[in-house]
Amino acid sequence: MLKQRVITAVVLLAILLPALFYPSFVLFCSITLVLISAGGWEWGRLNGCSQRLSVVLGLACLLACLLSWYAGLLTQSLPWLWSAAGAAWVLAGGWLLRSGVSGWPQIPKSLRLALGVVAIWLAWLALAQARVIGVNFLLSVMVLVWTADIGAYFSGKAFGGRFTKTKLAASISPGKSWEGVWGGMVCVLLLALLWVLLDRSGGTQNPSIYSSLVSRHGWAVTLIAVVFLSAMSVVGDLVESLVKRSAGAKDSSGLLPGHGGVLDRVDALLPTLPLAMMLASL
Amino acid sequence: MAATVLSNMPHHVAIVMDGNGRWANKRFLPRIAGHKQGVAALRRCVKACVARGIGVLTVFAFSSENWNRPAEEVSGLMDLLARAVTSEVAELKQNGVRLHFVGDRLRLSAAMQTAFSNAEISTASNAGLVLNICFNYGGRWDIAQAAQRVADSGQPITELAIDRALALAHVPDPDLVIRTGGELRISNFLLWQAAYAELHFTDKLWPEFDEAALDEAIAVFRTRERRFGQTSAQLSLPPESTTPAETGQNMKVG
Repeated sequence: MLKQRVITAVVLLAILLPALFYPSFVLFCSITLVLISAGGWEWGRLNGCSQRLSVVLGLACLLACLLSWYAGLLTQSLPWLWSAAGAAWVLAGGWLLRSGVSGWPQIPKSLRLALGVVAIWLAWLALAQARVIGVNFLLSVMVLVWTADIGAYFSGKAFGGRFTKTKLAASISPGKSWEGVWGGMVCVLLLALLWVLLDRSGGTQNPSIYSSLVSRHGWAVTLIAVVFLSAMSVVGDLVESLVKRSAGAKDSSGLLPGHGGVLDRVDALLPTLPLAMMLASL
Repeated sequence: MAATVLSNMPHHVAIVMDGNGRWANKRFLPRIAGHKQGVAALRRCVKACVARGIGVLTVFAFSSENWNRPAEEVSGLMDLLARAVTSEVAELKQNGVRLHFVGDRLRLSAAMQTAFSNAEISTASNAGLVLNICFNYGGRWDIAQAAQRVADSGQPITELAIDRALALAHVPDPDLVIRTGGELRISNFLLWQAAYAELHFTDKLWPEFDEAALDEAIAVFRTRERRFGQTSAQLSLPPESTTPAETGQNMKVG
């Protein structure tokens, strides 16, 4: 199992890393389109669609991304779109987590499918825009999500249940503790500090999200924004868990052997990328 | 005399910013997205010129012939420029940049003309880089309108008289003309003023033109021997006997 996990990771990185650093953003955006279509297909299956309808959903995601690419959205400043997407994620995420696993099937299926396609499309658009801004910017957002996740894992292991008796979301993801979330946030704060220092010493032309926030809004806003982003990455993670639990599935698919599906890998990025673009465009 | 024989830094750099549309096409983006990126490249280039102590930057933004482009692209470009002019002025002011719009303004909308003159007025007292934006400009148009002005004033039509009536009379002639985008043409840009300019062509598309590309152009310029129609031997004589002005050439050197 671990061997399979490592092999898949190495293959994925061997494709994604060169595409990421390739001077033109076309390669990276094209390759991620493949992953995003797979995510749309997984979304259909998780919501009990037939194979055919799931494929249609995947193609719908692909089409939405391609159309926005050809319309030039990748290089356009879209503060309104990102603010609306951010607000929708905060409100919908809060509502979903409150209503729990049983609340999910009560939403009409067509609405669930449409929301999923929109969320996946927005995540890709934000990913592509972040890549257009620069590799440093995109990496700074992705690493934030990974840091929050890894930090939560280790601090959850070390301190889980030490300070609070209630679990974070016992019915959705029983393994997660509040201590883990806090630990993840501390790690992300340290990451932001470190990244700004590195940006300053490197004199890089395209700043990370942290340097961009610091230069426009100052340190206080930056630190709040960073904590907010790491909180929302947990929301993305939990929402996907909730959908999987409601469907009775452990993984979103078996597309990435050892890891589950594409949505399992990118769940925390779904709200975080649009929110990062919102913060960057305000 | 600032113009040196084996030149150091170019005082006046002029650029044909070509390749925005191709940059966009290569990335499956609409052409206007390329122009937007072109504005970002210009912003970067202005900063780089300020940092390098270059005195004048003249850019070819829109030629008299560009009106023939698809209507959608033309109106998009106008819109983009009108917005850029108003949004960039604050930063240009901060960097000490003095703006000039060079070209025939009569065909532009009233709003555009006002935006241009407002931007010029609010940066007029700046003493740093002079930024000339050639808009609805053509080298032949410039020569013709200068000749007309001289004729109207009743003066004899001489090189000096025309020179003083040209749209770029407020700055010395360009030392270095750069064209991005791989084409090897002057395309009706600064026909009169570029008589003795060093030409540099690069395959880089304008949105890709960064600090390193500018430094490369300057480095190439510094290896060129500028003779202004004389021989190398003449140029090695003491400077007072070899100033280009004395050869009868029309050199305006700042």
